[in-house]
Amino acid sequence: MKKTNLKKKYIFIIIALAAFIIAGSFIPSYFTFNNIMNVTRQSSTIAICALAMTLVLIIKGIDLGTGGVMAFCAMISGMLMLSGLNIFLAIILGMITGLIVGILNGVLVAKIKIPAFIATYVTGQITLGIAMVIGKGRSISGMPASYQAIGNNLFLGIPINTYIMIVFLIITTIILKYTRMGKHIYALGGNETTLKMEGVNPDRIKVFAFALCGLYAALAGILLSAQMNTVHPTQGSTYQLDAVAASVIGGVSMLGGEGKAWMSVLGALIIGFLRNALDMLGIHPYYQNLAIGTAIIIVVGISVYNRNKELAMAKVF
Amino acid sequence: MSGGSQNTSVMTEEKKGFRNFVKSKGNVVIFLFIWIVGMIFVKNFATLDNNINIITQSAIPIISCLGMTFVLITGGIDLSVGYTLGFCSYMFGLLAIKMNVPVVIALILTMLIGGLCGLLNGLLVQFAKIPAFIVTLGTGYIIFGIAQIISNGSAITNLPDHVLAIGRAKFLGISSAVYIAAAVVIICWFILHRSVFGREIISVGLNIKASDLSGIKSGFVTVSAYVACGICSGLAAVLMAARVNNCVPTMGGTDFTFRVITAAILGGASLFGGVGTAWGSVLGVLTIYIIENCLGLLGVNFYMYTAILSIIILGAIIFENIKNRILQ
Repeated sequence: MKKTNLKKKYIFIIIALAAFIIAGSFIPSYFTFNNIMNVTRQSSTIAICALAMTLVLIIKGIDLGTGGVMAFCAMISGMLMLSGLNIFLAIILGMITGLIVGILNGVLVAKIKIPAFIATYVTGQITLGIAMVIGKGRSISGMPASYQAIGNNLFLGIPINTYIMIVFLIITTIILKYTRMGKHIYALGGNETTLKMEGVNPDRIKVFAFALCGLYAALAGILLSAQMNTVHPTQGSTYQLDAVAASVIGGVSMLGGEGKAWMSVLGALIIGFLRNALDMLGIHPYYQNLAIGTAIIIVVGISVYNRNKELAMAKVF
Repeated sequence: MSGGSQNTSVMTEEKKGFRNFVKSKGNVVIFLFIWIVGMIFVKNFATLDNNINIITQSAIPIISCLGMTFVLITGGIDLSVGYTLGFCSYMFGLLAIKMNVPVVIALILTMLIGGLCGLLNGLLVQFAKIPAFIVTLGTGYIIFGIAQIISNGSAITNLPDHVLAIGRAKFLGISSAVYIAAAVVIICWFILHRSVFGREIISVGLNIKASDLSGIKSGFVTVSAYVACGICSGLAAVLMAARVNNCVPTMGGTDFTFRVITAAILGGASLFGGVGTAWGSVLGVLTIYIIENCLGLLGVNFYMYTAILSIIILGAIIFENIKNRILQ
């Protein structure tokens, strides 16, 4: 029983790794150090989004506003930088903005009981709208050189982006695995009623997960704009789908209660490497959207099917 | 539920009347309030031309919104509407212009294509049991991807006059799109509120298990709702193509989807299923376009639209949820 579960959980990772190796053996410069580091840098942004998505997916939520938050918070910190504020202060203020949007999402979902996908979709549109207003519909640029360095420089041959991603991966893992809050997050996704019976307030956990999600999305947006040295209002638009795809490929259940931080990061790396492979093979981005949309439906479909089968089994016994 | 009914029996007649009024006519109140505010405070709003203009602008979204209302009543949602619209508009251009198919046949084929997109959504929601918003998020990207591959990123422009006439011909000073939308409203109103099928949709949205037990084919009903939504998007796509004289996959997008869902919610449809009316959705769309029209007349920057509109929407959803909780 346990072995089949294991197989089910890692099957997509195995398929994706196989695809990765096959792609690599066909494309000449795929396995070079430069290319791998380049993809790692790009995937780090997806990975941080995926960590954010994982936190809310575990509690049966979802964040469809990642794109808006990524643009909005990067726009805020970009504007603060342009007005002469210290870079790190500007970045922290941008992340706090994300935290506030996340708390708003959490309150809408927990207290007002709006379905997560609608609440986050609407706040995503609001933040996107405000980012448009701030940038007057255009991108802003001209941030200090040290900002660009965060997004592009290497340290010991590895992009700084990736270090930041790893730090946040460790933080998320510690929160999920070794704290009471983490245990409650899994419990909330599994069975809310049981959690309530134990006297835990589920609203607080929901707000916490969404708040952290907003914070991470803001960080991802800031890293993305640091990498490109501009902030564009639509810069995050592809990331929410990538984040959902990365999480479900990494074994996070759409039905809540399951998911590991490092697996989602692995999922994000897979998406990054596959996109890169498709690019290098000269396949148009149009097909990539098609492929990712299909992948999400298939993976979620299979996990729903498995869950239903397990439930049917549980009923029999 | 039983607690609620006990409360109702204790409640006085007068209060019951007020509760029912707010519950069923909240959308009318919001619509009239915004319209009257516009009439009084916004310069140039109160002209006949401007009001006809609002109705003309609303006609196409109304068609899509009615389709969305069917889906929302079953307790689902369709996030792929905007992409279906773009895909269908390009397919219409391809059929009517590039392949020289007669316009009426091209129109019907486009509606069928929309229906097929809806069928895909419906089958995945019903039989793969994947949550509707995930399915339609995924299919949205798939449909958009297919549209982009077929169009190769190009647009079909300069439609001939007889094609443009579908959405632009004028009768008694009102464009044909408005008449078509009116016909769709009447058909949808009849289906939703005067037919057995309409009762079945509402029943499935309220309680799917009870519906199954009472012999309703809930699978068929759910899939049909998505198909209806797709067909409406196909029709809306043709009219939209005629209005903007352009067939391009990026025409609808998430912006259009967002607007349509919002309009339905403003019009009183519930995200939890079982509640929604045809007239309510019409009022919802009109409310949104009145707000947008007022913003335009007041000279508000175009980039503010999304932000202001979505804040209003958030307000409406919060109002709706709190209202439902207090009233139940």
